[in-house]
Amino acid sequence: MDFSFNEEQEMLRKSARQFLEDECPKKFVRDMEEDEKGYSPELWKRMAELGWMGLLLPEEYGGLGGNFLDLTALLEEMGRALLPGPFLPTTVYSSLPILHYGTEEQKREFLPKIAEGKLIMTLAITEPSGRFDEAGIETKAIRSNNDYLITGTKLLVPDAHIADWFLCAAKEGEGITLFLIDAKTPGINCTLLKTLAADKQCEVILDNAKVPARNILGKSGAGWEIASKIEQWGAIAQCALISGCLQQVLEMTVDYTKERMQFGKLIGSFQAIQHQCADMAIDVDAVKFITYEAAWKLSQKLPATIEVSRAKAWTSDASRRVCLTGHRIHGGLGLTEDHDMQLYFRRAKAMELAFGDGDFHREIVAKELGL
Amino acid sequence: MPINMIVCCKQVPDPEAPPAVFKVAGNKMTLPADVKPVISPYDENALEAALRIKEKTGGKITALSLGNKLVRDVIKKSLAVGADELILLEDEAFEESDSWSTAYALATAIKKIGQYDLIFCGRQAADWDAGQTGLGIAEILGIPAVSVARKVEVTDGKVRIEQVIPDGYEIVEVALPTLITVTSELGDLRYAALKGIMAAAKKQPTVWKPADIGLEPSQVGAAGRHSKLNKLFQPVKEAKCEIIEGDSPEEAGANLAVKLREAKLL
Repeated sequence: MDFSFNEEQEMLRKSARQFLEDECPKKFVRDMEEDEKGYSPELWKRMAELGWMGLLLPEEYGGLGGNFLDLTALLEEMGRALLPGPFLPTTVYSSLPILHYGTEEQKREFLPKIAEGKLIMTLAITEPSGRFDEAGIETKAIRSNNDYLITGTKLLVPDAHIADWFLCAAKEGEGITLFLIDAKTPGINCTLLKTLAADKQCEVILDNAKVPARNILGKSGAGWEIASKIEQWGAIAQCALISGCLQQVLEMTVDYTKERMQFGKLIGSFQAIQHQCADMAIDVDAVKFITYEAAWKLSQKLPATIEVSRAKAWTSDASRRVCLTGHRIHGGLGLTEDHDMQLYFRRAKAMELAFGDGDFHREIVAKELGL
Repeated sequence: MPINMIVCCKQVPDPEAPPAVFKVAGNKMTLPADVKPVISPYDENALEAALRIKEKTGGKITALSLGNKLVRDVIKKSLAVGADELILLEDEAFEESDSWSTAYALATAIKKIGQYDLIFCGRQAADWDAGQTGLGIAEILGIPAVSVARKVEVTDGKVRIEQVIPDGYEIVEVALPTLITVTSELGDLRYAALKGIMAAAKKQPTVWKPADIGLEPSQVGAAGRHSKLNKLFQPVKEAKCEIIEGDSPEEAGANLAVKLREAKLL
């Protein structure tokens, strides 16, 4: 069995690593934590020029026709570099649903602009209940002639403060409908939240925001089917980010054990430290391969419910273990703001929870096992 | 006027790897497996020079590399950034080359390619830093060579080159065809766009063995060397830290000057 990336993916990975090492050093990551926008429009433009935004889109919409496994290679490098910005909300959470469920008019309207880096989008599903299921959606959509009036509160919407458009879930009668909403629509109020990872999450309040009926994505009342698919894409995208993030934590920690002296010896020579590093390496490898399997299934458009949830459950838990062990080995140094460990720990925590934590996905795995 | 360019790109162990991992054993350099190969950085600068000319005047870029078991996703970076063709002189007979046997094989391959206006090489490769291969190719081909270029422009059938000298640069004008070795001041190689990467992955390089360029295995690689490596060793470096003190910064500065004079550094 050959589990390695193919030649094209390996070239993509190397090229992305070099680009991100040069353009997204840790000083930039720290600066973006303090920056109100939380991303660099200049870097965004350069990423678009490299074709990253259009990776998953077909050529007819200005993309390159890549697949989810190609994206996984790219996301691992983004996770390793802790790239800040609205890449996932724009591409995975928004352009993919439009590509798979949008009308031809919607595809022509949105996808080429996304591929060119000229449009930032995000996903507004979660609400104060924190649930990621149909019952968690209380935002209401009421039909008014050829429009809908949407009212409700969306919470933890990534990068909403800089988004041009939202993909928003609202309750219409008994079903859920997804709407494409212009962020400039009157009645929308966006507030930036303070988060552990200093990523840019927002509260979005919609107060009778008027949305044309033609902006429904998919069928009216059948939006949860799309949301469930977005959840799968989003979960695996998060797994890929975590994979890159944990790989870097592992490398950073092993390097540290080869430098840090204690009792006159390098701490990497102690069996207690060696075994903890070995546990980290085992976790990181498991994260990679369980993620690749699910990403491959998604790239082949095969049913992947159990594979996705298995991957996210394992990866979420492993991220906690690896970061904790990394911190333990680094000791007090890893807790200082100047050290990069705390950046990785805080991001890993956010990614652990995004699109469902271990328990959430264990429930799905159990259900798929017929329990 | 479209220009036919050949860029020599050498695959070397990543020079950014920590120096401590490079070991010498049995007169050979050994490396751990986690030191990945890359295209030699000055060769990347050379490739960038060619790409800029292609953008301005049009033309064709052929990347040429020599070695054995060359890693495809490394060496095909030239195609990903915009080279039109990749030719590999790839065979175990090419292993353990010195500057001469490398230059001879590359020059012979360039003769086989035939049409060329400009040949680009890095000023030196990041593995041995000899800096001889480029000029050796020019000598064998009987064409002019300009070394250490920081800017290259083609106008009216001539090449205008800014050549780095110790206290600045001088401008040199040369007729085509010519060989240019390029330095880092020219600028970094551009990043490969996804479109280029995907196109490169679909292209297969042309692979030539010694016989394909009309050479015997005895004329290339270790067998074709003109130099003999007597001893390869890592110099032992000792560092000592001494704090120069003084009652005031001026006095400390003066004491430092005395120490440096004693050490014959001033």
